[in-house]
Amino acid sequence: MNRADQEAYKRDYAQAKKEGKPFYPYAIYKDHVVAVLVFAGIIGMAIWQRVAVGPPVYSATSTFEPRPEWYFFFLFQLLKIFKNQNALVPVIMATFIIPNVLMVLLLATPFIDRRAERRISKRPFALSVGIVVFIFMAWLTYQGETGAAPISGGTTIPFTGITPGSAAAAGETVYLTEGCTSCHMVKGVGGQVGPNLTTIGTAGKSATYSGKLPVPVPGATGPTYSGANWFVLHTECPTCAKPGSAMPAFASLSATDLQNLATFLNGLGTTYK
Amino acid sequence: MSTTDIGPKGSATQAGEAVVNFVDDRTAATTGIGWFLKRNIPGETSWFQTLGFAAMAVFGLQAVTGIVLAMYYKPDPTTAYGSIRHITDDVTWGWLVRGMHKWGASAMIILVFLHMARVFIFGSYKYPRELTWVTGALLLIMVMFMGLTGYLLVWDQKAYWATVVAMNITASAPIIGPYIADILRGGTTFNSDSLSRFYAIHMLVIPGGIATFIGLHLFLVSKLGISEPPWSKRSTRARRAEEAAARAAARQRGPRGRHEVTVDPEPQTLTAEAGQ
Amino acid sequence: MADSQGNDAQNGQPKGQYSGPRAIDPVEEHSHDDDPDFITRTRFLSGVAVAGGAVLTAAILVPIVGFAVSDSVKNPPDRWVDIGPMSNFPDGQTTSIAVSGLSQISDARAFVRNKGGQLIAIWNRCAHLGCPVEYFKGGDNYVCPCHGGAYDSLGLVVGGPPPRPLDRFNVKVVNTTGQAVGGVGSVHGSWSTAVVGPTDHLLIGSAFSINQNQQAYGLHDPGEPVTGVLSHLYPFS
Repeated sequence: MNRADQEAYKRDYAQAKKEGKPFYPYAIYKDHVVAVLVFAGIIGMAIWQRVAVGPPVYSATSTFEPRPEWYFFFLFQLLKIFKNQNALVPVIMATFIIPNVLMVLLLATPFIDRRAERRISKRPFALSVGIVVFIFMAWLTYQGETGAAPISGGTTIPFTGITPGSAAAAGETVYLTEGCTSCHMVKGVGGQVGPNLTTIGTAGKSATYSGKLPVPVPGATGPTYSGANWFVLHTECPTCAKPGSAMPAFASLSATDLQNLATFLNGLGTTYK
Repeated sequence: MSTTDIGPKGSATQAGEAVVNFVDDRTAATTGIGWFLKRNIPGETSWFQTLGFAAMAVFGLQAVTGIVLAMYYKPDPTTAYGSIRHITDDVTWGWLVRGMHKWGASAMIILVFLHMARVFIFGSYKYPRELTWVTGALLLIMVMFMGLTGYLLVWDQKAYWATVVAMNITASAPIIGPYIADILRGGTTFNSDSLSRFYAIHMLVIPGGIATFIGLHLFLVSKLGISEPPWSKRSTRARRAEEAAARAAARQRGPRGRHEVTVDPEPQTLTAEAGQ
Repeated sequence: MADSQGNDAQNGQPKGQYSGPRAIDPVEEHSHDDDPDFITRTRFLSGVAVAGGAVLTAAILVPIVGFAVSDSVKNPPDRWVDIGPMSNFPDGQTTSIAVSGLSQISDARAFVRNKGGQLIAIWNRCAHLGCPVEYFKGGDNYVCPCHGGAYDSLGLVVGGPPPRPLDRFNVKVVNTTGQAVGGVGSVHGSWSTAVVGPTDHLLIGSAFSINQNQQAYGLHDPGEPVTGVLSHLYPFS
């Protein structure tokens, strides 16, 4: 703002004050009314939603999933977006660079925007920046709130089409107890290190492998493996079915477990949803 | 006609007035307070401009509830969890005060963000209120840190692990990150000194900073005045009047910007010379 | 010499009178502004005020900063913790064990992997941001619940955001009299189990970081790579 605009503002504001009203009571009564409502809200929430205490600190745990307070969810989600570790997009992008850049921009706002215009309708850049930042933070906070997909095994995932006691039900149990959810996501539950398996049964996987399987499974002999047999091959020896796969080999499962698991996986997306 | 006009004052009133005069003689307090309360503010202030006061009121609530919670809280790793249970279950209204403090923290964050949004939309960060915005942004950052440090004090699994990750995020900052994280934690990993450090930071260091900056922020707001909403009727009226005056002045000027219309003091009249 | 009015030419007094300084004459104050090296009384006292202020500030700040900061930036002392007899850590398995620290809250969890004649102890602190990592027997791998970092049987990174493998603890096996049994293994921080018996005790020591080739580095905080361009951002770790 140049000197002329500054002087014009000072004159205009002096006129506004001249035509205005005294601080007490015309500003204070509004302040007090709103503050009373806010306090009523806080005390009401304290009574209605009593604060509990969780389990005590155990620093040698291996099953706890850390989560921050809700007002840090947007930063927490940022860490999930910048997941891959390479020189162009390192971890510090989300932990250090982006938050500090945002803080510096926040502090420097009055020095970036020095125009005299105050009406929001005539400040399109400011308005769009404000809307983008608000949507960005609100959406990330919402995602942080709902996106806590449990990764540890043992969680049940409801499927339609699985009859209790069937091979597929046994396969689902194997899937959950062997920690498959740690890397694979099914119906929104699980990690994202490996591919999403929600509809893997529709993928029509097939592979040729002429070697011997670590765990012989009746009916799954080479050299072509397709349908449920492909899942048997892949679970026992991922690199045999898909060279270069990073998935560890689950060669300690029994033949029955492997068959049940394969039945379960082969029907995902078709029979079991 | 005020009540002082009706006869002599009672002894209580006289004593009260004597005390006020004694203090005022020496402090000029009534002048200062009188100026603060009676100064004019623009007539059309919006209800959204109450968010700043609401945030400050909640800070007061947090300070007071925090002080009384501190009377029962024990900042040692072996006894912290037990003291929180004691406050929540045994102490009279302990559950209420703890709840007010916890919900007050969320309310504070929400109010501070809404207040910042209001200031941004109104353009109130522009001249002459740039420093008010800067002190306010620093206050926002300090309030977020209060949330971070206070959260740990409950000393349950959720609190502990959230803080472990937050400290590791700090440590990932280039070059000085590991040192800052070590200083905050009191060591290279969480240890028995970490909790009392966070307690000292939460109780003393940051509240001192917040109180100082609230003081600066309020000084600036009082001195510079509460801003007027940019769409107020008065400012619209003033702007229209100014634009009309500018248009009228432009009409006076000719195309080349100079005043070409001159008023002739003695207009010449063409009379009987027409036929000559 | 006399002037026109009969006064002394030099001081304007009637001639013959005393001409030296008188009590009622104003003393001319020379401020020495033209001579900045001259130490006037004002300048001296200003210097005393500033120096005293500096001493006061230092007297307060130096002890408190040293107090608050010194012990935090020191490396923790090396200590060995006995976590039980070797019978608890069978061959061919990875066993999860809690390692007690100096205080209850510095307890850590180690995964003791005893395979192929080598024993290593892996820390369950994820190398991305420090969340506790879980071991999955089915795949013999580790996965972090926070952001899906995945590690293989040795703690090397196979997927996700961690910048380096899981940190390890130094290990040592001693017999009941405290003498070491066997020696260090081929990889830094490992122990060879060739001559170790079931009653010998396993000791866990200080932690260190490794790269994908299992070469050892000083212990880094989570989120810090040990190799590559970005490792230079952390020159003091």
